[in-house]
Amino acid sequence: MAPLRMISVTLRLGTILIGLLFFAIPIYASSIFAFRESDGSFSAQPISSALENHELVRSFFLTMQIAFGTVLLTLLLLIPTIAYLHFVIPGARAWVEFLTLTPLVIPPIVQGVGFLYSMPTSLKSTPHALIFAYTVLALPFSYRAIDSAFSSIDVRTLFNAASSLGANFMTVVSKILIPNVAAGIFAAIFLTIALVLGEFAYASLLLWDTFPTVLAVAGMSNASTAVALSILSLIGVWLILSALSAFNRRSRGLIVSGV
Amino acid sequence: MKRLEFLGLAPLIIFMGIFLGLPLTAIVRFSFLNSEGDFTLQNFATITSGIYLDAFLLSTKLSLASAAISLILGFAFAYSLVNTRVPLVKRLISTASGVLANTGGVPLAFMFIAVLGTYGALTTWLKNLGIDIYGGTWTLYSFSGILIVYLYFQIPLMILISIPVLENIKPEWRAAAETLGSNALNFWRKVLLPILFPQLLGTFLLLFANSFAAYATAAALTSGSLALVPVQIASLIGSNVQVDGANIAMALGMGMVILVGITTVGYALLEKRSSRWRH
Repeated sequence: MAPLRMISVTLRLGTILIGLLFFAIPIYASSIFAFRESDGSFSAQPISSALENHELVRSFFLTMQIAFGTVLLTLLLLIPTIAYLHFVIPGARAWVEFLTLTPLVIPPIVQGVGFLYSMPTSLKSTPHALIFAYTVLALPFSYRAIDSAFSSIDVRTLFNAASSLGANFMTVVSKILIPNVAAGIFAAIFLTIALVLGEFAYASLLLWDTFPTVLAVAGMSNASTAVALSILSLIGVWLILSALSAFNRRSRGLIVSGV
Repeated sequence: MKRLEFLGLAPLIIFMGIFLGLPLTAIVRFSFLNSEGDFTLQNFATITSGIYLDAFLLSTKLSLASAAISLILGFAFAYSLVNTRVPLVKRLISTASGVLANTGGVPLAFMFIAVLGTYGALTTWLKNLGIDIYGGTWTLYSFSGILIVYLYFQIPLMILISIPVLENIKPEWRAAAETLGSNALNFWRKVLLPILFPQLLGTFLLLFANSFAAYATAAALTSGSLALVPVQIASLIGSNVQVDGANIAMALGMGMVILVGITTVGYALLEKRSSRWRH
């Protein structure tokens, strides 16, 4: 038994080591590519040239606005709906969950084509209309994150307790429910932001200059800037996610597909 | 009264109807029309032959390969991670996986140009060691090149899915098997794999669908030279060269929805079946 155990422990540690290398090698190698000068010294030149690129800076702020709008719309749409489902018609929950999973089945590129051919010109003439599109794309993940937070508390008892003390529906939602489901809401916010910061298919089809589409164009002309920004954006999102997971250790795996 | 209760769901349902229902209706409608607006089945004949059939085959091949490899490697890695119990490494890896699976896309493509491109850092190191990976016909922009890049969002996705599943393996199962005289190998073969099998099969389908739907990485990496289905759709929409181009793109979209739909429903069914073990 003992030698078998040794082998399995060695195998496990070996796998972890290989896995860590799997993540570390591309990040290390691409950092070298982006930040090392030909004489071997390191420089932040790619970053400063990115900051001088007005188009890139503008696209970053546009993407931030869209991310903010998408988060706002997602929360406004989902928190009342999910609260209502749990209070009033819990029987319809499975059905609504199924409905919110449907965007998963339609790849973003296909949704984008459909959007292009079905929306009025007024909506297609502003990049901020992407807020609606991205809210749909994020729906399967944002809905599940908030819904599972609601499922982990006894909504009805909390509601009845608060009502018997004289609170109305909105007071219950803002003072009792939201604090109790904050972790799920944070997860939904993060997932939505991560999705918006990476979304490419929709924005490139509709020809909007969001951060990912401008980054893709910048990569054609200035490789080291594009690589530097790529690394920074991945690390930036990673820091946000780490902060979130430190905040909520019970949070489950955060998944968005269709990169 | 019962009916009125459903009015509370109206905002969500109206929103989805407009921003998901209408686009989907447009896809279905235009895929059965030509550019003149007449009904036709020609678009479906077009997409099941020639370059479009090739695109489906290529996308399927890439998705099968990336799903199979990431299923095995991701599972092995997640298993080691869960059982070794180094909380810091586990947190580090699962958050890093979250980022790669979520935001991957364009940044991932550029990172790999910097790593394995013609002048990439790893390419240069290997060259200094006497290994010229560009000596033959291989490039980062070929099938196996793009497969490597796809693994960098597929394996993280597999890790994310596997960790909660593996954390639910109860130590009692192993104890029970050992009491009955089973060794580790038998425990795997007779207990664990049968339990995990539906889950693994379902995850394979999810990984397949995820890879099939992905567009950003291929677009940024190959600028359209590797003709996957999403790349073909984008190029048909972006140019007016092809007769009925937009309608063919819609038909391709329908094809994707059907394929991704079947695999996703398969995933959901298998996931439901295996969830009864997790209580």
